[in-house]
Amino acid sequence: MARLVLSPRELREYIREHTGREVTACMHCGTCSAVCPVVNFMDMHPAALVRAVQRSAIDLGNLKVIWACISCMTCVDKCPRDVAPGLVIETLRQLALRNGIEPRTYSQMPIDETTPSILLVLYSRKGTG
Amino acid sequence: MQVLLYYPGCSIKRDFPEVEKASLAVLAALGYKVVELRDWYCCGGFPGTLAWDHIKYVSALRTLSMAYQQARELGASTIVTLCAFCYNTLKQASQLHEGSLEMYKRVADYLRDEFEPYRGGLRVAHFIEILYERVKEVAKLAEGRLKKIKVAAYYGCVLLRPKAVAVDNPDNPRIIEEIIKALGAEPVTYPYRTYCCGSFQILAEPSIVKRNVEKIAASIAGSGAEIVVTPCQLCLYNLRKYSNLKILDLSELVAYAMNLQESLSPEVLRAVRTFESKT
Repeated sequence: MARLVLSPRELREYIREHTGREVTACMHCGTCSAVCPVVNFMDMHPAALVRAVQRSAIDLGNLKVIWACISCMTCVDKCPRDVAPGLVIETLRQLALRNGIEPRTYSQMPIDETTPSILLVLYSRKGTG
Repeated sequence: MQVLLYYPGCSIKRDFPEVEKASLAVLAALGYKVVELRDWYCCGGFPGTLAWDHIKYVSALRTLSMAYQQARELGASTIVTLCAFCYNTLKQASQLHEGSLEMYKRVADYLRDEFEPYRGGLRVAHFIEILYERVKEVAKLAEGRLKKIKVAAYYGCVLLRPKAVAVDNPDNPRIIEEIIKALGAEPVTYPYRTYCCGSFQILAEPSIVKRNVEKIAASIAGSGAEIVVTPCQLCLYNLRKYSNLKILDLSELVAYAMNLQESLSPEVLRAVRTFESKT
């Protein structure tokens, strides 16, 4: 998959611009990772992702966490510092999609006539930037 | 007679007509005149969350503008949805003019040529909120028909998150339990009742949904429930796919308890038939 490496400063400014949230406000309490229903399927749990965004360059082409998140908004509601890791993930996911990084395309989905249309709508929203 | 505007959404019409039939029968039995929107668009499924996501509000605000005009003609003030995602999206769109004014202005400007922009005045409600408001009448009509039956309420996440649009306290919701009590049944409490089922990942990464549903199913099994009800049709679909739980849409159990059998599908009637010897 394509590479897209962003420095901590670029990431921070990008996230501030698109979510209004400040990743440096994170105090690493880990609440987001504790409440996440899909944390077992992430290569980097939400709190670790926020830490990584603060500290080091990230290659979006090699990040699985952004494809596991289902935007359930639990971490966004629970974050005591309003960093909202779910929105950080959403920003990075859309950024990756807009740069041609896409783990699965729509045509690879196991879709048949019994698939509810709500699933198609939701996946279309999440699978496009 | 109170008029309710009804927004069906794509999935209710195409994939869950039995839920629509049961829900509309329940609302009619409660004395509502339910009027379907003359014309409606897909809500979009997920509302925008980022600053550049204003385009994701266009179809939801378009629907609200149209609904507002029709509500004025009919003397209605509430638009009701049966789908949890439609509720979430329309509710967030209806709050847009109270929150992010810049985002609201951009979307409203875009829609100005089509409609008078929506500026509030409509209440977006999910079916279970209407049931909860009329819980006494529900109890009267149900006549305790489901007594001695243990029912697990599975909320899912979309009706409770983000908290600005939650139908109840997102950490300890009680709405569905109160409705179950009104039917005469006994609600059970279990830890995973608001845990996300995995949503659309059933297409992209089915192992997520499989594992989450297994956790939820094990939690329900430990609670001693005989049947599970959920207000979200995607949860219904996912839980049916990966578990052997006996699971119904909440509206179907309510319709059964209110003696509206003619509104239920043969599958639902088969599922609830085991109760008949008990009650």
